[in-house]
Amino acid sequence: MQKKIIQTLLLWAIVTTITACSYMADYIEGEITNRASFSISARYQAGTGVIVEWNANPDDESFAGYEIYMTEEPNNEFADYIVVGACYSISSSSYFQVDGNLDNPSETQFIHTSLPSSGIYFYRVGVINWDERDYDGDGNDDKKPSSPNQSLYESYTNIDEISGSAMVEIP
Amino acid sequence: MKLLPNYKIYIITFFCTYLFTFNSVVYAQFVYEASTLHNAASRSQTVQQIFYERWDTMLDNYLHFDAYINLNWVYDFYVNTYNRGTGKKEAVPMRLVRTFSDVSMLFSVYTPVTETPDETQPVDITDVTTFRKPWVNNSILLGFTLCGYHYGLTRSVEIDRGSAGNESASDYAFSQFFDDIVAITAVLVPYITLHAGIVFNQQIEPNEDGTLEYNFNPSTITKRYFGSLSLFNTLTWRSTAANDRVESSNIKIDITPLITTIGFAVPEYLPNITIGYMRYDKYNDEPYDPVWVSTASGKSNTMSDSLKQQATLYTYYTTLSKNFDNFYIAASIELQHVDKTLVDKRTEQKVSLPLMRLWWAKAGYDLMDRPGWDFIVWLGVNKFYDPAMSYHSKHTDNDAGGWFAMIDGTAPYITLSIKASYNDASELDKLIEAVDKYVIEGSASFRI
Repeated sequence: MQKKIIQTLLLWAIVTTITACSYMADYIEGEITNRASFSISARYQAGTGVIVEWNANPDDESFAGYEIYMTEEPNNEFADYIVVGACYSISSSSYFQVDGNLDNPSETQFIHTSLPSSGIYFYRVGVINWDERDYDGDGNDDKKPSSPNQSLYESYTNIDEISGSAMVEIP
Repeated sequence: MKLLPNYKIYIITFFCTYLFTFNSVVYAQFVYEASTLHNAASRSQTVQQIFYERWDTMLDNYLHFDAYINLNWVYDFYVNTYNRGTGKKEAVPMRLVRTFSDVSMLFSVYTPVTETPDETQPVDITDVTTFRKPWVNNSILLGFTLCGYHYGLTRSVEIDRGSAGNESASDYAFSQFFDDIVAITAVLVPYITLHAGIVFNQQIEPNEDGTLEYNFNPSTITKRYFGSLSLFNTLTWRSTAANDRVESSNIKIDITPLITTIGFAVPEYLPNITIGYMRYDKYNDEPYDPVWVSTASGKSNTMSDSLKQQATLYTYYTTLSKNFDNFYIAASIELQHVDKTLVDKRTEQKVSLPLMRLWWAKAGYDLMDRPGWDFIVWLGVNKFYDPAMSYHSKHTDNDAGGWFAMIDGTAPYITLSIKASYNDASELDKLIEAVDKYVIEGSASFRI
């Protein structure tokens, strides 16, 4: 009986610690609503542009790339964001630039050179994952396509993680 | 399975679609500071209420394990927020998020063994409505619970990914509140049920960029202690203490089972009747309180704790419920009085609390006619009074009528529930700032 109680207590302690605290409840909601989960830095450097740096730990199995976002209007922290950097050409915005390095999970920097007019802007970094689906038609779901391309990227990717905002003043 | 006629299903489907499609639309435009979220005493009441609800479920259904999660979103909070882009404060739409998770376990540490089978003891009989074996009388059960509630405002962020589509994300905004319960339960079937536990209240400030670290720091945590004693599952006492004083007490009597317990037959027409009394140190001269206790003279929101006074709210309630086959109805009223004079902070006039604090009525219909399985559609209406209502919202007076609609599904091992409400009394009782706002809630549980 004593052994059973100890085993049960241990099981309860492990299960509940993992699943039943306020942090976990919040974490679950955060996953549902894509809560900002890591911090980045961004700074303007004359002659170079805006240097955005991050340190994320993407899931290599599903990783599709990083995307860089910027507020669509100056001097408004609460403006919507537009994509300004990705590994495929997914935007026609004049501020957008393709960066082939952004499909590398160990990449930690993006230099934004196609800058808007002066003002205060806010940047974020998104970790993009492939949707889990049958890419090769063998009847089994795959974590990612064996031959990624722009069309697949546009259709079957989503934001897995997103950073908090980083403020930059562009002179 | 017995189903309603087709046209009724269409009506219910239309109604539910309406609720969940249009209720998230932002209506009121009121700038507010999220103040009563700082009321740890009130938050502790909320997390305990859910704790007790889970244990009622555990014991009523003879469960050994219950894992439960509840997600609750309140839309339409416009909060004065500093915009680092403009350098000015502006009203920014926020969403209040409340999330709750709970894991409870209960196991038998002693089960009496009888030499000769006692036919009155349902040892090997599975209860048809729960698919589980009831506890044997005189068994001793031991239970443990860990549960947590998070409250906080979040801001939605819209992201245009170009030809890859649009997505949204969310940031933490303002203080985030994390309340956790660790509790132990002991049961001597069917005579005594005891709960004892600690509520840990923690407040964490998010980073300026909208992220937050779960920096568990014991020095920033306040504690409350609570206990509960129930005799024959009919007479229940509950209490919460903080530091040097008892913050709240609640005594509840379930009349109908009490009649059975003392040996009388319950007439078939009699509904289940519950009566109760609660005392709660509700008004404490805190900045988030709408009233001053006793007098406004010499008081301010920045005064020291030693000058603060307390007023206790006493409430008396009764609840009636009755099932007619698949049809459920229930109603409740709650009366109130306070032991000291309350003075409105804005007008410095005496506040007269009406006798009736709240009433509610609800009706439900179970679309399934199968033991252990439920699919109940609930509709309810209510009225609620609180002097904080006009203080913390654009609402012009201190009472509000509301409603809720809920779909409640139960299977032997899982439950699912979705609920939409507007000025629902139970929501306003938890957080008065939810007045005139739509609330969407979903919950699920896994149980063994």
